[in-house]
Amino acid sequence: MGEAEWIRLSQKGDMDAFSQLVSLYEKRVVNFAYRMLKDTHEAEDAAQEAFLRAWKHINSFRPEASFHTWILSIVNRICLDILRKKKRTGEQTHISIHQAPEGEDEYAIQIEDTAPGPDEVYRQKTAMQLVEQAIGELSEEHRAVILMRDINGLEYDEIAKATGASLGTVKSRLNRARMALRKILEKNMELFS
Amino acid sequence: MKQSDCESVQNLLSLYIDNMLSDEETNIVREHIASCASCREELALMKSILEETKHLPEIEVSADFHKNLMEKIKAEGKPEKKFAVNWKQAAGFVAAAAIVALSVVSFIELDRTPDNQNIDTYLASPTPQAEHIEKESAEPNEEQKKASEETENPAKKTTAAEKTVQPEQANKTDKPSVREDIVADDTAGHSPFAVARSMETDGIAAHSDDSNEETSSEYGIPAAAETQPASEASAAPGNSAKSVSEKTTASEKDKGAEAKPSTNTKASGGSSGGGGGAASGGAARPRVSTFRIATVTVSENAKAEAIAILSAYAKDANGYKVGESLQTVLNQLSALEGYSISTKNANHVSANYIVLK
Repeated sequence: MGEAEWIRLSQKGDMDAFSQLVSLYEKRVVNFAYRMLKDTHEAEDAAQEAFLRAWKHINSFRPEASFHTWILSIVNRICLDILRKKKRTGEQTHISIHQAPEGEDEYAIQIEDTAPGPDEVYRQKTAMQLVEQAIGELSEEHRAVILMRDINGLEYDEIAKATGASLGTVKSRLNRARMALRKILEKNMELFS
Repeated sequence: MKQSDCESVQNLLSLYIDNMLSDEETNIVREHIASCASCREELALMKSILEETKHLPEIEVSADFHKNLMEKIKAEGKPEKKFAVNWKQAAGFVAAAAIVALSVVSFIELDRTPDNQNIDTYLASPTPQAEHIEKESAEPNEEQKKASEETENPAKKTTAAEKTVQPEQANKTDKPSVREDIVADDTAGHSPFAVARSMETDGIAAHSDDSNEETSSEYGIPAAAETQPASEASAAPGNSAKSVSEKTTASEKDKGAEAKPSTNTKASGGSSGGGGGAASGGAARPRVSTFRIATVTVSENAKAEAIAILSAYAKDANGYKVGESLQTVLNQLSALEGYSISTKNANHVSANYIVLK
């Protein structure tokens, strides 16, 4: 039984079928939310909310569309709402702990500030970690399109549907996002040299 | 190698990597990087960054994530039915239906079935139209009697038509314009259709990433998605009505006659008779349509970005064929450095175009 059948059964109220869809996409959704929110607990809360909304509105989902794109569009909106609320309440600093890449013994701890200052501490940075760091420093809109395109592999028209933007806007936004990523990396690498 | 060339090409590298450039732009980039070591390095660097991005470590989902989620889903109960009553959506549809009903009523009221002989003068200026309306109201036929039964006083309308010179003023004083509302509201994202689309997920605010962006998600409530083509179709007459309303010459008002009769009547007193005439006279009357060619200038630094925006549209000898998206694309381009625009009407084209200088 494949994804299309699970969707069809979910639309009839079959929770077991929806559970299969969750299993298929939960990791991608949680990781998307984690990259947006930079916090594992918030990411899981946002992901759960996304699946809950998807369940509630599963009958609005058209079978010919992509469930992957749909669930990412939902979690993206949730994350953007959370980030905007944080901005309004003035929440600035958070700590995230993430596991070092496979093969390494140590955990790399980052103390991040949304407005990085000269006294940040970096340890054992690999290229991958630098890129990860740089993605975290992008604006929310830029981060979202990078995550959709470069991590989740969505096509431009799918990103347009997911974000409600025109194709032209997606093109220019992704272009600016990658240029910004490049500049942040350049700046962060200078801090090390 | 000019620095501006390198900057322009480097602005295109992202789309080049994803094969999203036109053939012409792809050739420009290829030829440039073949002879520019700096841009070749930049391309290689960007590719390696994107490669690292694809392989970022993933966090593991906690052990009780799935269990907790399914408990919440059980507590939520069955999913909403496809056509469950959504009061906000229903209010949106009621508003849309009211607008359509007003359009039909105003079309019936304003349609005076003019003679073919009078059609040229009818279309030429408001004054002849007013005279024509007076003539017809003086000798009402069956249709007009029926129309007049639906309105209290045709003479009042004649007076209103005489007083209003500019189509947009007639629009404002007589009936609300569906097209202007939809075009304006779609831009702001507050039309009934945009509201309905925003309800794709419960309670999610319809935050646009950019306030002037189009909302084009197909994941909305099915009825909203079905009505979207209608709003886009009626936005086209709205665009031409807007262009008509900006002009003062009578001949340019004619060109609004290409729009659908039901919405055309709302656009202007001047062109409404043309629309009504088109509906009733039909085949005998030639249609004149005018589209616009907008010549956009941006700074050298912004040119690549402008090309990126325009590359979503087909390009031919007349420029980038943007069609009904003219205003949307111009809004996007207006954010670029050094933006300036001049427009002209063009009878020789079949859609709106943008020329980038």
